[in-house]
Amino acid sequence: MKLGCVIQRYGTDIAGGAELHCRLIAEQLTRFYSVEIFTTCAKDYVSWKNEYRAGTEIINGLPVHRYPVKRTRNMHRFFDVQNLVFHGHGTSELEELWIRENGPFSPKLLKAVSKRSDIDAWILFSYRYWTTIEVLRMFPDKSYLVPTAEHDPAIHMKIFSSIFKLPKAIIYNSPEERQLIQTVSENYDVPGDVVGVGLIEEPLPEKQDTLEVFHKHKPYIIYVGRIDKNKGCDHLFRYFIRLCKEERQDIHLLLIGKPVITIPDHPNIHHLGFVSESTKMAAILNASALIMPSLYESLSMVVLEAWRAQRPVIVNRSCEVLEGQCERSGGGLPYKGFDEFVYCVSLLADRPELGDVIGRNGHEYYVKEYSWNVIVSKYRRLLEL
Amino acid sequence: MNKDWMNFEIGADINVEEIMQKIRAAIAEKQKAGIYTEESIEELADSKIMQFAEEAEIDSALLERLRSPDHSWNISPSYLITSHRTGIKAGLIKLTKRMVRPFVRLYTDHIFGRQAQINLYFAHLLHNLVRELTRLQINHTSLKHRTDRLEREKEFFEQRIRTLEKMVKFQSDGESADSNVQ
Repeated sequence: MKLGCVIQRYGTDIAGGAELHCRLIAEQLTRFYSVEIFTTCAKDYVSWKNEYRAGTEIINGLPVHRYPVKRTRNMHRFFDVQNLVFHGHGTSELEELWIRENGPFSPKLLKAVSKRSDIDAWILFSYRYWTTIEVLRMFPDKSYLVPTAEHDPAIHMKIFSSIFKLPKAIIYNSPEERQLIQTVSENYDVPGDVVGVGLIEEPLPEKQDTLEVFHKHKPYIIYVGRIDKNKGCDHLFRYFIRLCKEERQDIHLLLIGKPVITIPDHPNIHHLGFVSESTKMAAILNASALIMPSLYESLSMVVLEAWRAQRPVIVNRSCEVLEGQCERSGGGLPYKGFDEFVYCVSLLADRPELGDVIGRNGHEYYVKEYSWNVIVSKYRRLLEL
Repeated sequence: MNKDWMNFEIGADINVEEIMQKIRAAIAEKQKAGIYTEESIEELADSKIMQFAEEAEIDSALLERLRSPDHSWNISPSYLITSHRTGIKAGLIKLTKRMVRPFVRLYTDHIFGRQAQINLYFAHLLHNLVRELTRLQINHTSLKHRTDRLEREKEFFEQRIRTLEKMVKFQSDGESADSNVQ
């Protein structure tokens, strides 16, 4: 069986959620199928500027076909269209325009896909991009959609209610994502399953070996990922500084990842910048908890990483997916508002033995739901429908 | 922060929901005592605004924009010129619309501008009213708790006075009875 994966960007240097998701799944599926990747030359998800060379290259044993984006995204025009669409003035023409303006607009990719009748199944990642939607329209009976949908305004566009009815099957990240999509599109007849994605399972460092490095910051909570307003980091900083001012000064916040917003200059906030995978895991291993303040997540891979390391998580309860994951696993505390944030952080900082038990719950859930054997067997079952 | 609530047994099975219930109960206790900061009041006011919006069934996307710090929710005289036609026809129609637009806007801009100002003023006013209302409700609840407590203390002291008076009366009655016997 030949599989084609379609994704807006692809590469080992691209850390975006859906892109990494696609790469990990594709690399796992090569054990059973012949897999090829169809993507663009873009590296930047805002401008879609062509940065990679067009053509085919092999990445981790997989053939990756890259096609140029015809025009970069005009943000001014995109926001003009988006304003109209999100304000509820979206006619179907305007919504089509939104999809095109959102991009990445790559007619060459579409043309190449149209010629590949030998591909038995297309796995399409991220519902909102032009590449995904056009390939889905071209081969609905061969398409498996991995929507990676979040609770944001785009999902409520009328056009998506028909798009979600097209694929042969939908591969969801969480029960909450499935419920969201089924509610907006009423696509109850489309087969699907909650699958998600596993992790790159490099051996974990020993907790005691790495203790010395992070000891000076203990107790600390850790945030890993893009340091961005969209990820809830603005309220994380506001809450944390208030926690230090009003409640306690002994706790620290460690940050790993690329800053998009300014990190406050505070003696208890430490930005480690870019670190190796082993340093990142060591920092997570020694943390009182990993914090995930994001409102919009379809599946947080960093939460899975914390559970892999048997550490508890503190998540934003306003994000249904994160709250649902914590409820199902017992692996984390979901907070809403400053008071709950303070109590959750203080509890896990002051009672580390409780954090260990919650972390173990998360680990058991991770092994049961997100180990590669489970993920791959779910994909195989759907692909062989 | 009072940490007494943290002293609970940890077994092999941890129920996260139970822990969150303990946390919420501890927060409720704190709030019963009237311990609210400015930011807590902001949060409460915010959830009240959300509740009003949900009751009014406002489109969630618009609500998101209403709550954002910029004023992108407000009406604007500018608009995107589009056409559902394609090719040369679409180009001509768009060009015509572009040429006509300055004349249309000559008459409509000041009306839209004024309406936008009024919208902004009312939004600002209503937000502040909700915030002030929340503050007053909190003060009211806190004062009510205080009055109830004072009322209970008053009753207790009155009861005590009555008991003491009875005791004094009983003693003095006893003493006068003794003197009569003598």
